[in-house]
Amino acid sequence: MNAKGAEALLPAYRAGDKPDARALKAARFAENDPALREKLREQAAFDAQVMGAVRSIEPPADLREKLGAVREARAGAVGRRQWLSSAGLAVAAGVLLIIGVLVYHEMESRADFPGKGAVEGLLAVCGKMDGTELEIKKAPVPAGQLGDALYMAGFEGFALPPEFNDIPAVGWRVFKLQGHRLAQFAVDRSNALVFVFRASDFGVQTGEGHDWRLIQREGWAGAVKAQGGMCTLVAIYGGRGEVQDFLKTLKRP
Amino acid sequence: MPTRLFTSTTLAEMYRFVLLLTGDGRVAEQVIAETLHEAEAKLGEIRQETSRKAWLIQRIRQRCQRENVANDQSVPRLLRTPVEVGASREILPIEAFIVAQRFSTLPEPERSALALFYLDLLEVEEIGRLLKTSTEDLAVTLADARVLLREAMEATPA
Repeated sequence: MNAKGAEALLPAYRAGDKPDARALKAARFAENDPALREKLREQAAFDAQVMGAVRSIEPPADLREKLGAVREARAGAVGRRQWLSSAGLAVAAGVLLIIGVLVYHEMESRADFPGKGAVEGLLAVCGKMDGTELEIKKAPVPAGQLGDALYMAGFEGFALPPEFNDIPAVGWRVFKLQGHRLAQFAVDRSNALVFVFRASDFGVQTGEGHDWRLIQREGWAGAVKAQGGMCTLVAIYGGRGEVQDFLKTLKRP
Repeated sequence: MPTRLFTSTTLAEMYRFVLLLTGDGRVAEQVIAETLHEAEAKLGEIRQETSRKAWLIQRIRQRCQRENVANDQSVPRLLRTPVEVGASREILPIEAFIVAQRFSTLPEPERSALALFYLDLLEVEEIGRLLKTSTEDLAVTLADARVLLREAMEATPA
């Protein structure tokens, strides 16, 4: 590299852990050239000042809440537009026809069950999460293959209803609640969070063979089912309808 | 809900980036919310991307450009006139948000290039790919951007 080449690449030099290889070479060349050394010094001084300033910018403390509000407002606007369309009215008529059936299932699913309070407590855990708790993976993994990773993290006996085996998990963790270990993973679909725990740890009895029980707490809706002593709870931010929609997407084996 | 799968650090990085591109905190919230909404709807597409961050940044940048065109910012854009680089001038005390506002007066692609460079969101090669330019041309853009930012920092507030 000559002085001309170094001077051309010097502006792309950024001090830090991973500087660009060619720019780094230019910077090293500049260290031994009086004119370029001065130019590099000026550039570094200016960069340090501006970088310090821009990186000190802090977003509003309630940014997540604001983002949620913006999204809801947008969804509301879209919903209103759709409702006013003739297609929306036709769909509404169809919905009214099947509402009676849904009401029956809804009432059935709302029924209390032992341990319902504990499961609702898990939904409250979701509301306190900010995404940093989970170990996010670059590539999704079929949830059914998480057993070994969760075992290594301290959760034994991980098991899922068969229809969950192929859903893509993008991050997971094992954590303790009230002295009991739980496994949790995020699904790369509908932003769903799934908890797996021993039913006996939290006194949950949904009834063997019973379909999903729906619950709701603090803006989150969940569906829980106990099978073979292990409970699976799917949590989604939203209403019961969103959870039901999610369950419908699962492929039954 | 889409924010749940993004760490606070990522959200903060996005916020800073949009603020530098638009100079407007409310627009920043709007742009991030819309981008995360899109990300939620296109999780499959993002999964195919080598760099999810690059995907997000590209979408954010496109939205910022649309916002800036739509809002026809009242802050006048600096012209891309060649300026001699003088001695480094003291720009302290720097108020971070003033810097962001001045940043948003730079023309494109200088603004995006310098914002990505200073925020360390992407590696230099990745910035080049995003802006569809070579490292050599990116270096020229960054040099121009520094000069313009210096000028903007010294300009009388609008």
